[in-house]
Amino acid sequence: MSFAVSSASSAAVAPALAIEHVSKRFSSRTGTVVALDDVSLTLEPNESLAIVGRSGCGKSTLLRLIGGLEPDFEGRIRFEGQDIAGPGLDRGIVFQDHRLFPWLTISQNVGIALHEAAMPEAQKRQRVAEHIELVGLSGFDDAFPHQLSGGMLQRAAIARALTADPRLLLLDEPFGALDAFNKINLQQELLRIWHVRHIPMILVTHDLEEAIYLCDRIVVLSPRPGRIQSIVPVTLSRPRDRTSPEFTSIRKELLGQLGF
Amino acid sequence: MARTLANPLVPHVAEIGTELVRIFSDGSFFRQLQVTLGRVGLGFVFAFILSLALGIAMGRNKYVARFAEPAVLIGLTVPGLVWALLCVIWFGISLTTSTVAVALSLAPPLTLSIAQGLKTVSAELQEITAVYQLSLRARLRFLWLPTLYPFLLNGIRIGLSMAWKVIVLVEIFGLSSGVGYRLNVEYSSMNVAGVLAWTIGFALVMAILEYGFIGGLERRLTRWRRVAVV
Repeated sequence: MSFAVSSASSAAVAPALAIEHVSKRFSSRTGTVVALDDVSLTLEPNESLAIVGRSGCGKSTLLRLIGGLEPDFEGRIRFEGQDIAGPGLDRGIVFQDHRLFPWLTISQNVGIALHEAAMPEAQKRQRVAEHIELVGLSGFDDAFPHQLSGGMLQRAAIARALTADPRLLLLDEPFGALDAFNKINLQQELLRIWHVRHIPMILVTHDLEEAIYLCDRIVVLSPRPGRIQSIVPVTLSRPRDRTSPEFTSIRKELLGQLGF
Repeated sequence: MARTLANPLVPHVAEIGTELVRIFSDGSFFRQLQVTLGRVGLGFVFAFILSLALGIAMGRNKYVARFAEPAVLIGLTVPGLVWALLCVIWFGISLTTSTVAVALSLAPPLTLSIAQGLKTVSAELQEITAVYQLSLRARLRFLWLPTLYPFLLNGIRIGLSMAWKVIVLVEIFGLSSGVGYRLNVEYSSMNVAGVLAWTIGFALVMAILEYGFIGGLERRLTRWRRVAVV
């Protein structure tokens, strides 16, 4: 990946993702809820961005809009200059629940991402095997999801999201349902994978430590209506020490912003 | 009971046994069974394809559901006997008669079962099929059919038992071969042992189909399930 144009000035590089004045309302019988109100944000190529906020602040909604899973919204979202119209293979998504098909094996589940790709079967099989290896699940290719632990299922979900070679990775509280040790383990794994793949990623989380550990910038959303309250850059070098004073002070700042 | 009551109306067990041995040994049972099974199978295939298409359309689109629901409900209440009679009148003595009669009796319960089953399709997995842009065929294969398997198996079980009843009626009324026809012949000559022998043979085949074929299919289709050991 050394062919990346590093000499170009950062101002000349077009953002990977541009969110311009996006608002989203949900109407129900009891009234209208403004989930997002005039949110504008850009994502640089190879940047990792975290979106944090209290529950109900619209952070998952924002991610679903970028993923093309919510059709009606106001404003514009452009990915690599193109307006987003529905879901696409160029954006890989990992959800909190692994969303693997229970009746398919791990390799069949990962292969779903390439099912519609115009590619010889042998090549598809090879890419699936590569990605299963990338997330450290070699040997579990033919296992059914119920035979694997929660952490392993999330690994499989990450493999599936990356197999179609997306140019943006969207993560919606990917480790929210895991125990503390598994979580730390997978955060390190995600960091390793992100370094290998060099694609921008957006991480929605309510775990501040996770956001600081993984991301270059942290967007704090305020709830009802969801608005950008602040954007906190994290410039610590990686791998980041969760117990360092700098890490703790960012955490403290974020907690203060969230009203704790 | 038959042993103590032995008379022309309730024949002795040995008589039925002799009759069973006769129809099995001279090959007539298997010959007729083959004919009947073929007719059931053909009707079944048509009913299955129709129900799958209509059931999925009904499950996915509320307008189709509203439009087709009355027809399905009416179809449910029409007795198999009526379908048998009507088809014999409409199509005469032909393969069409048995096929249409079986298909018409099976399609309504099967359709309803599939339409209901489709409501249990996971919205989360539905989103995954959208994210990976799966074609309609791939969605059918990876999402809808696997979700529907339990409903389909149930439908096949109920459908098979209904198909037997209808096909025997069709064969009695309008056809000159098959198990139903043989039953009618035995009935005409007041051979109660013969009627019972054919019925018992038939029930045996049903049991073999249920335990061997459908049971095996079910084990294969649900092997991904976690089984609790307590």
